[in-house]
Amino acid sequence: MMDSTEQYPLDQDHLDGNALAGALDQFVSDLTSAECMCAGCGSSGPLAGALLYTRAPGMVLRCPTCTAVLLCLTDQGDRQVLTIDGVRHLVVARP
Amino acid sequence: MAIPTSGFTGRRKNRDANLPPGQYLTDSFPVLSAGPTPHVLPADWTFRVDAGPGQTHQWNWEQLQALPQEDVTRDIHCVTHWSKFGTTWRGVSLDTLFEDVESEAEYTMVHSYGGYTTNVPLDDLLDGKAWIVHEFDGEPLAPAHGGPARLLVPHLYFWKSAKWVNGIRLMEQDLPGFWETNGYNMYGDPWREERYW
Repeated sequence: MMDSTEQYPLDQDHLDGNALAGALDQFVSDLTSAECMCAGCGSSGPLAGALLYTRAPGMVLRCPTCTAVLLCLTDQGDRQVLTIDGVRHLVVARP
Repeated sequence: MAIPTSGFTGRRKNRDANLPPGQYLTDSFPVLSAGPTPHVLPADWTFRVDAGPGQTHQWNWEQLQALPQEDVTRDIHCVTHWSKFGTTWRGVSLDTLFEDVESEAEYTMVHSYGGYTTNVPLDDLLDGKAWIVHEFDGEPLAPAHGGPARLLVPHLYFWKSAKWVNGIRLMEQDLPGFWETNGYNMYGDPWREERYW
């Protein structure tokens, strides 16, 4: 049985993830203005308009329409963990 | 020169011995919540143990109250660093609720109204280590603290003591619940300071 790399051997058509850095700048600089689609109910709106719960072991952002968890930011002291299972996509406007 | 008495230092030593590493003591009872508080009426409340196909055990509020009740006094330790000593609860031991449950499963997922989940090994719920509690400090458990009923598993960090509990599903393998998916430890022993991944 062949694994996927045998079926589709790696070629030179790709860069490594470093090349994303510049393209992601806009997301990193002001994520709260990004338009977010909830993976649960499909409704969209700016992250800034979602419901943030902070009296918890982490910061939990919920969809204002269905209250499903969009993302969770946890502070582990020496590092932060961002989980985004509840986000289908984020859209940012070009400056 | 006055010779210090052993009174205060002795008491402090005992207190510190009961405080896990990285914790501070509080007399208040902070309310932590990752989402909106479900308001479940006792008349609408149910609790189920799901041990696989055809192996579901369910109780309503009246049936829970009819089971043997235990008064429990325990220290509790929140992963956000506060601890509270000598909290008093009333409820039903998980040993009672699991009496007729037969399963080879070693792990559980605890489920709550509102969608919260947390994983706890089955051994940590049995042998007098966990309860479904419905009273705190002699009063019905307030919704902000998990009422009408919450899990109490005080030897683990308090996020494992799921508020608004409505069921426990047995699992053959250990899978993460809500906080365990979002950066927190799969087990959560406060004495080993098992806070994060």
